[in-house]
Amino acid sequence: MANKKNDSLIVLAETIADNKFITGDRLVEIGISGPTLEASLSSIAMAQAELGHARLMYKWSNELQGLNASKMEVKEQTGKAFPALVNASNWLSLIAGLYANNQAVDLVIKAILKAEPPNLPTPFNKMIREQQEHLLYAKSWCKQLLRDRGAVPRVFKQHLEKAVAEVEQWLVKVEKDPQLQSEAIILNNSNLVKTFKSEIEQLTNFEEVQHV
Amino acid sequence: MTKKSQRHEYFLFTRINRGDDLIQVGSLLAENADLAKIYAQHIYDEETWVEMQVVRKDHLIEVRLPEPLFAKGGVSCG
Repeated sequence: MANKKNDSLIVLAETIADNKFITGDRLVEIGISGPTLEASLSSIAMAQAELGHARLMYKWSNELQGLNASKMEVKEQTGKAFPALVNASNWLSLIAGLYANNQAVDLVIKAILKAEPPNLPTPFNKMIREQQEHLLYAKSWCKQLLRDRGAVPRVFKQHLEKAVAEVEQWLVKVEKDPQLQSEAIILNNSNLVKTFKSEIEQLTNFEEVQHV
Repeated sequence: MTKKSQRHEYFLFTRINRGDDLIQVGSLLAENADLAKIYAQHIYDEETWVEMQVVRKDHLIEVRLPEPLFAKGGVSCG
């Protein structure tokens, strides 16, 4: 399976894995001092799942490269994680990064599953299911922070915009990647960027409706 | 950060095996039903429940309440 044809797919897998790896790490580091006990406990539980997803994606990437995936040891990311997530240092930036990243990964993985690329193993069912939960958590917290008091909504919006911009750039690359398209891994009509933008719009418009 | 008043108390009811009684095993505070479901799964994970249900405490309908042990009293001012 290891050949030049897989280069883009390996980069894609590593990007998802790196972001999951960092998300897991940040969910523990920052989530432990979350705003409520319940939010912190959930954050730690989700960290375990995110690290599991990272491991799955690194394993997938190794298999695509023809490496021995069973002897894999993950110590650090490969440098493809989004800076907003890497530099997350408080609850607001963590939630913004968690939402933007999981929303994008969800769209990409579902697009791959929809394309049903031949001869490509896609072991993502459990990950997709768990990710829906993480997405719901992040979305609920986004909504709360957007309608919180004082400077919270404004500062959170800034973090969200930063995280969304980085993720959107990545989605543009994925959507237009000639190799992913020629191998029918991401279809021409996947509309990744459009769907992502529409999800973000729905989230931020929800807040405007709440203020009316 | 988040206003405490936005949070509601939810009761968690679970069933361990099929056919078991649905029993209340605990409660939690959550901002909305979606988060209540997620929190319940993450906090009360000591069993592999076949069924989990959360209900907002203030959505329960009172049929009967225990008689108070003591009469309600207060400190009169002046």
